Amino acid sequence: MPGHFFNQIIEFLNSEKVLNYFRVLLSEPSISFADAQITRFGAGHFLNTHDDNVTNKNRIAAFVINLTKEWRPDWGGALHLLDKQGQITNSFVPTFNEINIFKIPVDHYVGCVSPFALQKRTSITGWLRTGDNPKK
Amino acid sequence: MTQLTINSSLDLDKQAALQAEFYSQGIVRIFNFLNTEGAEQLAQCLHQDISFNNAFFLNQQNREASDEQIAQLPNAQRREMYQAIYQLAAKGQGFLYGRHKVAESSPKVLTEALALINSDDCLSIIKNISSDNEICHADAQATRYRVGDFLTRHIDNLPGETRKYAYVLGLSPEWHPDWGGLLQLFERDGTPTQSYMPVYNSLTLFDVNKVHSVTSIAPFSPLSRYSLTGWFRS
Repeated sequence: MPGHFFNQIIEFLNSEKVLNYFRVLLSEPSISFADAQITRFGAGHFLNTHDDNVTNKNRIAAFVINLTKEWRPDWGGALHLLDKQGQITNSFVPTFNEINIFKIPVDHYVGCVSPFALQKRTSITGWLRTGDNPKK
Repeated sequence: MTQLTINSSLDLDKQAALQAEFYSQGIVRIFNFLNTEGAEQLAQCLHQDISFNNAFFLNQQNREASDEQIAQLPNAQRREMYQAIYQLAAKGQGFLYGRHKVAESSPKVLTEALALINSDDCLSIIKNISSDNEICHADAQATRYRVGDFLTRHIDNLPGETRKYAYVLGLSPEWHPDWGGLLQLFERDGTPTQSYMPVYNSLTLFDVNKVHSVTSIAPFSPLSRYSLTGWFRS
């Protein structure tokens, strides 16, 4: 979408400064670009367990930039990471202007948003990848 | 009927490891807590033999109603009731789940479970793990969380109560975390810390000062979440 504000966010995420930040943070110097999407989870929405490992996507890590203000933990929609035995190791409740980053593949899911949630869970999510950016 | 016992593998070495974990975390999970047959009978009882009352918070009161009572409400009134419960939940208040307080009139396996929890063997294990010798008895209720049920964030340490440690014995076989029903712990400021998905025949024990919730059961969950739960008291 030409002229859309989201383009600036994609550009920002792909700036050398930001990519360098991720390379250092994750000890992954081969990160060459980021892709991103805007996501919105309403009551009853969910993303069940998966590991983000898709052949030929060269994904190093996934990220979630949380953009919902004043989310209540009782509303669900937390990001949960799992160990190999299927037990939960970390849970991140959506927190405004917080980024959650995790290396993949790792099993994770977004818990179902409670039927009584008053807001939508909005975020920018994407992956830090290696190789050539197919969008360029 | 097979007797309910505590799994004999919970020896002093294991208890020492659990004690160290409890000391640092304020919560432990004891896997395979009961003997296999005992856990099966208890789970079967909760799944088949108990009529649960639905407990919920409405109009500033804790209320209870049987499945039949709720089913008999006119549709509009039932819808209004759930809407009111959910409106409170949206603000972080209240709960909705099925419960059956274990009493003398309960099915035999439940009264045996309560006796086992209050046995010298069990109390000595809990005293040991919690490093707390003041514990002298425990109560128990069977709980059932169906699709949409929840328990919002709260602490169990009510003034005037003698509760010291909460326990949850998971009795749903093969739960999946996608289905919700997690025991979720929080810092005092609301930051989430650990989450525990229901694990069959595991006893989770935690300090009543810990802020916690049970996350709502997802609409697509094929199973209800059953557990035996209560408090060890001084």
